Amino acid sequence: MLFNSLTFVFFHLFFVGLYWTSSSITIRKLLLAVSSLAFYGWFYWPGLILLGLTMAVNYVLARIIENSGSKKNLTLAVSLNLMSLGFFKYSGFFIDNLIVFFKLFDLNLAKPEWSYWLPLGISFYTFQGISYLVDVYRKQISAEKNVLNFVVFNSFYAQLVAGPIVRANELLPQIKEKKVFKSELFQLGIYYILAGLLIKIVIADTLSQFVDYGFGDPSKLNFANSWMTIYAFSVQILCDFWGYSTIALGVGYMYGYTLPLNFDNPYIADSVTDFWRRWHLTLSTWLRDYLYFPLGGGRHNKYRNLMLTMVLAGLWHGASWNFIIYGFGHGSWIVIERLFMDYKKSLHLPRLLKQFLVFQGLSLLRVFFRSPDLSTSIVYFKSLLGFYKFDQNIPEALVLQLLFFILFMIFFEKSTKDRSFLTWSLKKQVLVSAAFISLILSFASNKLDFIYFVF
Amino acid sequence: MNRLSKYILILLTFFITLELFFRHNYQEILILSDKQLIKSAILKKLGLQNVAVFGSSRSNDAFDSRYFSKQVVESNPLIFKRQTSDVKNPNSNILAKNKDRISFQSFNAASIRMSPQKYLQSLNEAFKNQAANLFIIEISEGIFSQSDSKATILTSKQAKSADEISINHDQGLKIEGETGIEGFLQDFFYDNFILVQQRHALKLKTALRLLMLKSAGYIPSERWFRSGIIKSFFAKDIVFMEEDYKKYSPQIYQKSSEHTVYVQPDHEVFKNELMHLFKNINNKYILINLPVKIKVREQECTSKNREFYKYMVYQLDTTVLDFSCLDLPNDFFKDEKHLNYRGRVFFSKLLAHHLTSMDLIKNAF
Repeated sequence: MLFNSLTFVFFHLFFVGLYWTSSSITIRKLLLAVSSLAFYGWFYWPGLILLGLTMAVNYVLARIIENSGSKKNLTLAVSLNLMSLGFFKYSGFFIDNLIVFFKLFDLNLAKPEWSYWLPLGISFYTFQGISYLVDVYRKQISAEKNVLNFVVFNSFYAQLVAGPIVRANELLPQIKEKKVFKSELFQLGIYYILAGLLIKIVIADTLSQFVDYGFGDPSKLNFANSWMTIYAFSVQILCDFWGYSTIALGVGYMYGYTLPLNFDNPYIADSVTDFWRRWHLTLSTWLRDYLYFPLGGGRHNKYRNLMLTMVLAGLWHGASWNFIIYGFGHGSWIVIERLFMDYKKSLHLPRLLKQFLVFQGLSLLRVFFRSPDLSTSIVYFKSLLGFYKFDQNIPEALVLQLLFFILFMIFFEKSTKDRSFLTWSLKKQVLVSAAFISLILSFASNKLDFIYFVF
Repeated sequence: MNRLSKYILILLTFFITLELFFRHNYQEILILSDKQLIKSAILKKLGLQNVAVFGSSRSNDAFDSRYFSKQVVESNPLIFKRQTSDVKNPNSNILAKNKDRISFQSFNAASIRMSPQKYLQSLNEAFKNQAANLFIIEISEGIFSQSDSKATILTSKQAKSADEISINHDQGLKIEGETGIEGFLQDFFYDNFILVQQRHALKLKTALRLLMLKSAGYIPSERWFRSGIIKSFFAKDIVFMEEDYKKYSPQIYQKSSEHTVYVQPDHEVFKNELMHLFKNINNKYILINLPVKIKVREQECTSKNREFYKYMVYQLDTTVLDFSCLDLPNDFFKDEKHLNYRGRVFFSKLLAHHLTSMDLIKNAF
């Protein structure tokens, strides 16, 4: 069940209705657990087995870790989570590369016959599980004893398949408290869901048509259109994920939950370091707290740690060399920025120019992210250098869509800052909501999956 | 009632009202994604015109009814008066003698992205409805090259369903392939709510078209179909000299007793369909081909076409004005085949000038 489907709208309204009509906190939690598992099983029910196993292992091992305080138990628990992620997400990539490697020595290995199955949202719930185990080990939180609370924490459908990656100390206390219906929060939830759907359907899905065309065969693009296409992809990927996260926040609000923010205007960043403080915040803070700091952080081997963290961040997005290069590109850029900072050198450029350059660089790195393989990336870079000359105009619709994105971003930022939507007059609230619904309805002709579902 | 209930209730009321509006205006909403059908609908709404132009994007760009009408009125001041502000001006000298003159109205019904079927259908309907005293019909290669092997005149029932298919297909209103609960819900909403079925009408561009259709007769709606709409409202008239019109005279083919031999033309099927249509009508019409830049001229200004025009006027009681061999200045064109604003003003006046000098307009009354 996708957030941008009618089934989800009815599913969500049904369960949120039941949730608020029941007065018992246990029944409410039970409803959340059942609806979340049903939501996940809707995609592919065998996925529930892996999710259930992961939850069971983490529930038991967290309690053991809490009681023993043993690092070995933590290592075992984290390894089990990583093994599951590694097997389902990276084994195909590993085997493919092994075959290529042995071919160098004239050894031909046969590729296993099994088909690869990538459980939805595995990267998200694995990372959430690891952070929980580490936090228990660090005694930042205590292991959850109530199974129902633990199931809701691990599977809440607002954030299960594509984040945000919520920490236990953010979500568990909210699960335990008895919620009182707040109509303002409920209304804010509706607004967030409408805005998220608009971002996804009107902006991301419309731009995807240009991006799919461009990356389908980059040698068909002239210089101007190849640049416009990477800008379009930069906006598409933001809107696809930002749209999902916004809907997730809205779903949370309607249940009385507050989920962490995942995006903070990433394209106004004036450095890549700044960008990662604004883009997919729950992943970047996870990487900082559970990878970069344990590796030594800024205390020793800082540059190595930064590079390793970013390469793994790239690999987190997918099992391919393109993602490794994508991560390496980000890592190198951050290391260079840090070197400049450490040696107190600075390029005195106007902030707007810096923002522009950062956006250009990020868009260029995204060629690796979007291309299906390295050879396509190379063809794409050739088109960016003007290798292919055609008499093509830049599609008007693409320019309008990018302009619409900028205007919408400014508007949405204003409307959500300090929840200012709630301070608007009823007339304004209705007008804006009606405009959102009309736009969603008029653009709802393609149903495309969320890009981040596969991560 | 708290704020949340009011918010939900007003939103629901808004969309129920919108659904009722869509149901009430179903026929108009149905044609919104097709410019050719909208133009035909506007023409029907405007009532009898003195001149109506039918054709492709080239006619759409080449003919401006304001300048055409103005030129006709200026050339025939004793016959026609214009329905413009100068008529209402109490100080105008023309007004005093205007009483017995005929108001002159022309309309550009040409459209971009037209399909041959819809072209024939629009023409057929306009002829049947006696939409104009004189029809000016484009017969450039641009029209025919868009036809495939066959174009048929659809009966109105067929036409309606063909439009629906075409519109629904273009907009992708139904998400195909969904099964189970999602498929059931989509079918339910699609089948029961016009708002969902015709949701493309909620797009700004389409909503503006509906507004334009509704306001036809009050605002000069044909201008909305060209690029540079806003600019066109502030554009100034361009004055041309009598010599300019004389310099650019079209090839004229008129009824003669001279026997012609049938030369198999390109796009024969569609051309014959068109001729078949012309043979069965009683309306007055002339056929034109439009000016093009030199590259395209080689395809349009051909001996084969000239022979076919002769054949046409021999078979049909009509006149062909062929402007395709004219060597107009390059700054009259926005691309190889389409005139720009300057070219449009000139061509509209040029056409009016020649039609008037040949008495073709006067004879149409």
